[in-house]
Amino acid sequence: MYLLPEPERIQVTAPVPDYPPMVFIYKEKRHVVKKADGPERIEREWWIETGLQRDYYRVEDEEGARYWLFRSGHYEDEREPEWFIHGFFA
Amino acid sequence: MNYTELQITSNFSFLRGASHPEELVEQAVTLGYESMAITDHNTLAGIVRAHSASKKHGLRIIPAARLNLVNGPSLLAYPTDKKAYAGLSALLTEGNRRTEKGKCELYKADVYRYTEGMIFILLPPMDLNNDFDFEDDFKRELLEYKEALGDQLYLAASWLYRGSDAKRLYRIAELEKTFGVPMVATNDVHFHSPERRQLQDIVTCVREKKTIYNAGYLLYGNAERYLKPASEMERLFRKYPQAIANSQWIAAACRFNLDNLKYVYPKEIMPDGRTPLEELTRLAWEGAHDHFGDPLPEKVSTAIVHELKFIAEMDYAPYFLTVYDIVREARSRGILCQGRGSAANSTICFCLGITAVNPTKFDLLFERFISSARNEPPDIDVDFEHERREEIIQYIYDKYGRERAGIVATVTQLHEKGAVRDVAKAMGMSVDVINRLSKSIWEFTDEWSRGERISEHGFNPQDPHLIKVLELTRMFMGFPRQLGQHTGGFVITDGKLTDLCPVINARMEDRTNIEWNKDDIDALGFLKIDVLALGMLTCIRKAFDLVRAHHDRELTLATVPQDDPEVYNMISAADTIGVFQIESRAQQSMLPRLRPQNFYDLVIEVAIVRPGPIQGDMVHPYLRRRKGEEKVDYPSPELEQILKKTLGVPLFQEQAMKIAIVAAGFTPAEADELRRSMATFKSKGQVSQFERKLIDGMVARNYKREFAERVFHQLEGFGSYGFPESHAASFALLVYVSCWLKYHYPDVFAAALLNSQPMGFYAPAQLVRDAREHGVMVRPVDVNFSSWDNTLEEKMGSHCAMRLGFRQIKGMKQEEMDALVAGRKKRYTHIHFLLDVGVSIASLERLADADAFRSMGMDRRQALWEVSALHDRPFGIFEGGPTASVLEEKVRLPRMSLSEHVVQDYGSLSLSLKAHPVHFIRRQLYERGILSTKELDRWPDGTLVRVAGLVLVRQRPGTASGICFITIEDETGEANLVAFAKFFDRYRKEILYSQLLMVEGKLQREGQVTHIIAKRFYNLSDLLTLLGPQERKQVNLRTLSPTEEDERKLHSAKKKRTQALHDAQLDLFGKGRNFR
Repeated sequence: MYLLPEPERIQVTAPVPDYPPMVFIYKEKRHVVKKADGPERIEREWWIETGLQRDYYRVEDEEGARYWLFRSGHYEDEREPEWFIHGFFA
Repeated sequence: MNYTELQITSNFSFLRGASHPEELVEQAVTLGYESMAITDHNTLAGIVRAHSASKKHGLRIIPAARLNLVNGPSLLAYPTDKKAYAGLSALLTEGNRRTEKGKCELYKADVYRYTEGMIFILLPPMDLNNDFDFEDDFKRELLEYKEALGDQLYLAASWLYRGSDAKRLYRIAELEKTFGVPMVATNDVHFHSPERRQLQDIVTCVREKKTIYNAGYLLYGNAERYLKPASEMERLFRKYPQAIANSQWIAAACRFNLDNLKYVYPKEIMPDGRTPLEELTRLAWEGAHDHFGDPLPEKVSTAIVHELKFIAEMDYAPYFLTVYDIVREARSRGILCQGRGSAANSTICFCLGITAVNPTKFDLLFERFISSARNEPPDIDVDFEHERREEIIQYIYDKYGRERAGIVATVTQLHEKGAVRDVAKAMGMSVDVINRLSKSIWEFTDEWSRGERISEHGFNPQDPHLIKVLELTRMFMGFPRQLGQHTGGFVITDGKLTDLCPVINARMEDRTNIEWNKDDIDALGFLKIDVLALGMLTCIRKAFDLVRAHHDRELTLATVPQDDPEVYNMISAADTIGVFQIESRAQQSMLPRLRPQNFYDLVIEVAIVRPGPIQGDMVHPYLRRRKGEEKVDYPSPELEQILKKTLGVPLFQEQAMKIAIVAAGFTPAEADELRRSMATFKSKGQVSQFERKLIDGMVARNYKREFAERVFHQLEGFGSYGFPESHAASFALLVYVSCWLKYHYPDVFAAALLNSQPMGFYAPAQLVRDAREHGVMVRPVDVNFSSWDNTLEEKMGSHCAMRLGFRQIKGMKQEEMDALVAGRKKRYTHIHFLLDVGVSIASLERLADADAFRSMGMDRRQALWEVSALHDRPFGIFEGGPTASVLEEKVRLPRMSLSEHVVQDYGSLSLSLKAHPVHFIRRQLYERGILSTKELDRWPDGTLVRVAGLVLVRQRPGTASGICFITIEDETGEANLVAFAKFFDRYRKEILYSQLLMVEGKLQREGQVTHIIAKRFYNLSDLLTLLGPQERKQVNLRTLSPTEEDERKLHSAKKKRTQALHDAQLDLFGKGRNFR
C-alpha cells in the first residue's frame, strides 16, 4: 500500500450516515465506486491530541484500482464532514 | 422496542468495564430499553446493583454472566428460570472454590453439567484469518458446543467498526446456516456512553500493566462499545434482522429476575414443631420473668406485646431466634457478647440476653426499626470478645454448613489516592511524580484549577496532561476494585447458599464469602447477622474473671451495679484512661464540660465527639443548653418530638434522618438513600441534588436556612461514618461497665486491659502509670513470679498488687513462657534450670534484657553475662557435668546506673517501674527554666510557661482546622498542648520528630481542663543521651501510643473540612476501632 504523506481532500457523493462513497473526485478525476469495505472507525489518541474520529473505507473504482479513503467526523445537522484520500493499494 | 442488549461488561468485571452498573441502567432507561442483561466476567457481583437501580424505572435486568473458560471460547450464559440461575451460581462457585481468591477456573465440562434451563451465546474470535474466514479450530469448538448444548446455543454477532465487520457478519451468518446455530446481535458493551472510552483505555492499561503510550493494540481503536440506541442496532444489522429478533427472543425466554429469589430463614432454630413465633414468644416471656420477676412491670409487658405484634407482622421471628442461638452458644462457652443496632435495643432482645441495655432505663425506641417502611430485615450486630470471635464464626459454619452460611463481601472501592496513582501510572508519569501527586491530591481544589493558588508541590494548573489525569481520577474514584471479606456479616440460608449467589474463597483460611455486599443483601431482603470483634469485651471478660478470682464477686454485664454516682464523678473528672470509647483526648476534654450524670448522658457523650455533630456544629449549642446558658427551644413543635431528648440539638443519626423526613418531606426510603449516597462515592451531582431538596424542603416548611444547612452538614458527617443512638446505647453500657471496673477495681482493670492489648488509645506505659496513680502496686517482671499474662498477687490494702507478665517483654514467645511457668515447681535458683524446661537462649537474653532475674539476685547485666555462659553447656554423655565457663575467673561487671537501667527497661518493656526518664534530667531542665507538669497547677490562667516531656500522643483531627493536640509526659504527670495550624507549620519538624519536646506557651484553664497554647517548640531529645553510658549517644525511648499519627495523616488534616471526613474518623478514634 502506498500511503500519502498527507491525506488529500476529495469530493464525494455518499449516503449518510456511514456508508462508503458512491463516487469520489480526486485530482479532478471522477471515480465511480464499484466495491467497498468498511468502515473501520479509528479514534484519536486522546492523550496526545484532540480531534474528530475517522471512518476508513477501502474502495475499488470501475478500473479496478483500490483506494484508502476516510471521512473525518460524522454527518451532523450543521456541518458536512470532509472526505480525504489517504493511500492507494497496489 | 425490538432489541435487547445481551452483552454488557460493567466495572464489576474489574479493570474491564468502565461504567458502574447504575450508569448502564440509567442509560438503558434513557434509551427506552425494556430489559438488558449484565454479563460480567465469571461473576454475578454487579447484578444486584443493576437490579436495584433498574427497579424504579421498570427496566428488567437479566442476571447473567460471561464464562471465560480455560479450555474453550467464552460463552455468555443466561438462566431462564430460578433453577438455572442456581445452576449458574453453583457453576461459578465451583470455578471460584478450586482456585485462589480473585480467580475463577472453569472448564467446558463444568458448563455441560449445568445446562438445564440455560441459554448460551458463543463469542466467536474477533479476527478472521487470511481467507477472511474463522479458523477451523473455532468451527470445531462450535460443533462441540452445538452437540453439547443443542438448541440452547447461539452465536454472538457484533458490528464494532473494526473494518472487517461486514465480512465477519457474513461468515457468522454462514455458520448459522451450516451448523444451525442462530446468530444474535450484541454490542459487547463496556461503557454506557462513548465518552468513557478514555477511562476504558486507562483500566486496560492498569490491567495490562502498561502505559497509554505503550499499550498499543491492547486498547480498543474506537469508542463503539457503548450502549447504543435500538434503532442504531437495527440499522447496523439491517442485513440480518434475525439477529435482532433473536435478542428479543432470548430476553423473552429469560423470565428469571432477582425478585424471584426468596430468602428462606434457616429452620433448625425451631425445636420440636413450634413455629418460630411461638418459640420466640415463649423465650421472651420466660426471659422477662427471669429478669424482672413476678409480676412484670407494666412497661415491660406492654413493650413485649407491642414488639411481638410487630415481629409477627413482619415475620421477623426467625431472625431474632437465629441471633439468640448464636448468643446462647457464646454464653455457654463463656464468651462475652453484646448486641447493638436498632432492633437490639428492644425489650425482647434484653429478655433474650442479646443486649444488657435495660430497656426500662430509658426510652430507646424500637423506633427506627418500626418506622422502617422498607421491607428489610432488622439489624442486629453482635460484638464478641476479639480474641474468641473466631470460635463463634466456626460455630456458625459448623452448625449450618459451608453450603448454607457465608460471610458477606465488601466491595473495595477506589479512593482518591488509589485512583490517582492508577491513572497517573497509566498516563506514563514517573514514580516520584506519582508519589508527590498522591500525597498532594487534596490540594487540587476548584481554587487550584482556577489558578488561584499554587500547589505546594509545584503542580501547574495549566498543564493539560495533569488536568486530564485529575479529570480521569475523579471519574475513576469509587470504581470497585476487588471483593474483600466483610468483618463479620453472615448470611445464613435454609437451602443452599449457592442457590442465591456464587461463593468465593476468602483470603483467610477456613473462610468463604459470597459475592454480594451488605447493600446487595439488604436490597434483596436477606437475613444478615454481624458477628463482630470488640477488644473491650475481651478486657471486660478478663476483668470479670479476675474479680471472681481475687475479689470473690460474680459479675455480668447486666449485674454490674447501675447508676453509681462515684463512677460518674470519675467520668466527669476525665479520669478515663483505658476505658471504652471515652478515653481519647477529644473525649477527655469533652467530659468535664458535659459532666455525664446518668446512663443517657453517656449515650450522648459517645455520640457527640464524632464528625457528624462536630461538622454540623451541634456540639457547642448542646453544651450551652445543658449548662443553661442558652434557652432550649425547638424549631417547630413536630421537631420537639424528635429533639426533646437532646435539648433541641440533633446529635444522633436517627434524629438527622427523621428531620429530613418530618421537616423536609423526604420519604424514609429517600432519607436512607441520602445517607447512603453520602457514604459511598456516588456522583457529586446526586448529593447536591439531595442538598437542594433538603434545604429547600425545610425552608419551604418555614425552617431557618441556617438550621437546614447545619442539618445537611451533619448528615454529611453521619454519612461517611454514621453513629446512631441505638449503637451509642450499647456502647454506653460498655463505657459504664469499664468505668465501673476502673473505679472499683483499678488493679483488675489494669491487668485485664494489659492482657487484652493491643487495643485502645494508650500504650502499656500509660496504663501502668495510671494504675499506679490509682494506688495499685505494680511489680516488675520476674522469672520466679510472672506468668505470660499480667497477674494479680496478694492484696495490698484494698487492691491487689499487679505483677507484670512476660507478654510485656518485646519479642517473647508464649509457648516458651508457658513452659517456664509449668516447670516452676519451686523457685528457680539458676538460669540453666530455665534452659532445661525449654526456654531458648534467645528468650533468656530477652528476659535478661527485661531485668527479670532480680529474684535470683542478678541485675540485667549480670544475668546476660550468665546467659552467655550457657552456650557451652555440656550435652550428651557430659550432661550435668561442669561447664567450661565454671573454670573462668569471676568477672566483676561494671555497675549500671539507675538511669541506664531505665533506658534499658524502655528498650525491652517500653516502660520502667524504676523511674521516669525525665527525672534524671530535671536539673538540666530547671536550668532552662522549665517547669514540671505538676507545677503548672500552681500558676494562674494566662501565665507564660515552659514545660518539657516525652511525647505520648500527637493528634490532628481533620475536624479541628489544622490544630494539633499533643500530650507530653514527665516524671510528675502529663501536659496537654495545643498547636494552632500556624505554629504547627512553623515547628513541624520539632513536633513530629522530637522524643523530648519542650514548649513555651500560655497556660489556659477552663474548669478542670488545663492546656498550654504552645507558641514555640524545641527538640531537647539530645538531653536524653545523658541517661545512657557516656559512650552511647543514641537512645530510643518509644513512648508513643498505638494511635500515634504518622506524618502522612498529620499532613492530610490540612484538607478541606469535607474532604477530611474519612481521615478525621481515623484520627479521632484510632485504628482498629472502626464501628458503624
